[in-house]
Amino acid sequence: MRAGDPLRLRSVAELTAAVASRQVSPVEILDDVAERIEAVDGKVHAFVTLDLERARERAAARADELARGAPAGPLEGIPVGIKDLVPTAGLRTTNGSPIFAGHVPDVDGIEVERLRGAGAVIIGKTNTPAWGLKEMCENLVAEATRNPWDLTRTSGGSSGGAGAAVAAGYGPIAHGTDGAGSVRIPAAWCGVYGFKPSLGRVPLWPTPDIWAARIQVGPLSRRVRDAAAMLEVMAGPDPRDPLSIDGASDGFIAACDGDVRGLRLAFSADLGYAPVDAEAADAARAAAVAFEELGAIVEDVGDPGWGDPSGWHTTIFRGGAANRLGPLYDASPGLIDPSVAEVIELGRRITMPEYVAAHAERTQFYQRAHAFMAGFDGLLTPTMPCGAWAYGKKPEPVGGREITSVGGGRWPLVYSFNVTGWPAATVPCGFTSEGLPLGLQIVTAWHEDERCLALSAAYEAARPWIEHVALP
Amino acid sequence: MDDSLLATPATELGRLIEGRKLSPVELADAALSRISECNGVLAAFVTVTEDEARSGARAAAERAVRRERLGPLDGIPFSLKDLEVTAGIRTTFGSRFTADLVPDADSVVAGRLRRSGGTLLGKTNTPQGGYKDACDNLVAATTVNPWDVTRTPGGSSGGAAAAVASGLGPVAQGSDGAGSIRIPASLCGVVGLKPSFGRVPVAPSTDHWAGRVHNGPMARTVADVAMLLGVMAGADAADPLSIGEPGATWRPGAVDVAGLRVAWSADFGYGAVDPEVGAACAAAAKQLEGLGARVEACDPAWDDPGVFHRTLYSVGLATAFADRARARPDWVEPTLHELIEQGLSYSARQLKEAEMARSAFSDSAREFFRRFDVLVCPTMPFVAWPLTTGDGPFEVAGRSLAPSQRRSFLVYPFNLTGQPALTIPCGLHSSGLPIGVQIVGRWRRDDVVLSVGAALEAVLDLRLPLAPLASGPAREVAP
Repeated sequence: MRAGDPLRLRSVAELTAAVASRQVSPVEILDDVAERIEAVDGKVHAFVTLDLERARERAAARADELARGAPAGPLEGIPVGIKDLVPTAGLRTTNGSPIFAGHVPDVDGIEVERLRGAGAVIIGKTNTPAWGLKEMCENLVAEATRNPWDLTRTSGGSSGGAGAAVAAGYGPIAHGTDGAGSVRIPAAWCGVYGFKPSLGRVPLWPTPDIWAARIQVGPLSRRVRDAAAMLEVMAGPDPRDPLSIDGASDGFIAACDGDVRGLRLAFSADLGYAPVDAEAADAARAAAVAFEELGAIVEDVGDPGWGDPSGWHTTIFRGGAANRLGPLYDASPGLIDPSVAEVIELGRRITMPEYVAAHAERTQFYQRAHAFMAGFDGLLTPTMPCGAWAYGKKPEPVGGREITSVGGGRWPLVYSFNVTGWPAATVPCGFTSEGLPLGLQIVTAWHEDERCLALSAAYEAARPWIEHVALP
Repeated sequence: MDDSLLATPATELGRLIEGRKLSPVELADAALSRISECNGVLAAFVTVTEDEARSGARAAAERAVRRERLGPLDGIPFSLKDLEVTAGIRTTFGSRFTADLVPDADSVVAGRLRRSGGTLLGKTNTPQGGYKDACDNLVAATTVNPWDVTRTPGGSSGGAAAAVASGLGPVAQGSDGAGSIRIPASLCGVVGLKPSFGRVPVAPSTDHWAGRVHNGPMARTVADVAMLLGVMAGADAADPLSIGEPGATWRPGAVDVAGLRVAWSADFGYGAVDPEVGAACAAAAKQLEGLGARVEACDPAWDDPGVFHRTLYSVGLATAFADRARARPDWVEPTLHELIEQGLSYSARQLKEAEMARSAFSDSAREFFRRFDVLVCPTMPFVAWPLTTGDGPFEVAGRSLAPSQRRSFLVYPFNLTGQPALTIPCGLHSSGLPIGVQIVGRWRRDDVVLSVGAALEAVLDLRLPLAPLASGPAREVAP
């Protein structure tokens, strides 16, 4: 943090302390962020819907309440964009689809309720592909989100608006969801931090299919502690999500100070089956060295030996999408993106035996992964197999292999940890030769969110990335 | 043999062992001799682990002398259901396909209970894979109801319930995917808790994310069930959906019943129950008013989940058994064949729609429970039925309640929502058979359910004896 930095680039801790002591007003923070959005979002397109007027009213109202002595919340005055897959009461929520172009929900998602209650100021809805089903942020309802590091490239997805917003300097944090990598993919490609917590850590509601148990809500941020502060507000059980779990006993911010010395970390450049560019693998391998410098023990395991989950994962992914979206597709085929239509069409061909076999394989995969992780405190991999690809085009081959159609093939290293429900973060770990950000994925075992944050924060201290700011 | 010892609750036995007034060896001897006396008729146990029981009891006795008891189950006889894998002990799953399986590892819960110092008496009977609400299979003799040996104990934890009811160990582990703890507990006049989903780990499992199978305790008192829950409960990474800290204690009475809002429903508005059963359970619900609770007759405002539940249930059985049923149709019961065929008839789309219907059902159940702390209802719509009835049609109050899932319409909804649900005995039917009342709590409020159960148990003061075990023809346990 440099003394002269504008408010929008400062940390959550710094901003909330300044607001609580009334040195800075929530309105000033909002104005600074809004100025930045107005200056560059015409190029970046991180937002589907902006709500700056009402945000300013709320910030002003909160400033008055604080002036009258109201206690400041843990995210008081922090501007936040909410991913457009999660409902916001009174604020249009499109799901990335023109079918919902005029849809204004009357409820908040649980985490939105909690963010508002903590004093965060909702500034709008960030872009996502339709229903979050791919790794590029293109849809039929809004302009495609570009990567702030290179406007000819995709931001990644599905929380692409969130990743681009943080990278472009629209404040310290953004809200994302991750059903197969959707927090980590755009965070890696936009050069920011992303944290997918354990399944159930942040309650998921409303959702049509809670027992699918693969979607996790998580923060994207400029710093690890910014994400921890946001997580601390969003986490904790709620009966509306029957699979929700407890928050951290001592808090997620405190967890960032955890000791990593002596921890045993596995490194795998490709999990034994993924196509990965040499640049991405080398950057991740170099990043892993930082943990050795920090006193951890890093072992390059090559192939963890749990097998390639892409076949059965694709079955579950497509089957779920086909069923959830099939009726909309039948009713309005012209309003469904071709890539989503393809997922639905393929999903409809899945037979019941294939579908249940895929679920049985998920359990067997969990058991193998669980056995592997029993020997380690964490696992390090590249987050994505290469830098962001060009928006609006088919991906180039990676590591000499063709990148397959939408499904796990385009994000081979991340979705396994939605399947297991384990914590997984991505930290910036360098750049491709073309100057595109790369990420290192940090995975920890079942419910070990605190350790994942501790590893992330230790890496951040050893290899600071905060000076890297995309300025489109 | 000392019947009063066998009728003594585990929590009291624990105090006697703690005070060195009772030796775990004496207790194991009593339980084993009761098993050798009764199991030929009851067929509650598929496998009796006499050697492990005796050596375990000796070790427990030594620990008691040294005042080094490992916990509340140390020295107390218990049993494991034969769906739970046990290292070195045959585990049949009630199935010919695994008639001689000797696993090399314990399930999480079997391991916890075997390490608790408790005296493992053996493995209790279950229908094949726990598929139904009676306790016959093709691998062992049929378990009968100790209150009337011509009747079923219910299922699928039928061996566990029959054992506890007749004093073959004061506590038992059971499991419940669609009522399988509560059904036999109700029909055998014992207490059974289906805890919150995930409270007790289920691992290994063929599908962790199916999310309907619960592990839980059975006993003759609510306090014993709470004690056993403490030994079984707590998260383990081997079950990704398990919850809670291991080692927590559960104290019935932790929550005051006074002021609780209680919904009473006899049949959920879409089922039917035997009038005598309904009356006994209504009287039990009424008793809660005397304890200061506010009781309101109110049917849940949810739609009957029977259709989508049947899809989920039969697909689960088809997944587990279709290949085996094709390979050896003679090793699969006709009613299991029917369920497998039904499961195979669904498309992936119908299955997925059923999964989404389950999400919507959870939402409507939660809405109903916003107004109430607990729901009280009968556990089963009638008392134990004759063994000869089999799995066929069943009528109550002039309405047909077939096939078998329909008999459990009061219990399986809470496997779908994962809410805690307890059954306790609340009276005897004019036929002399026990009636059970079910207490369902809000999400993860096992403490409320146990407290209401304990308060109701105290005020009902039934003092059911050990099941009278009317004499019947002695039968071989092995087929």
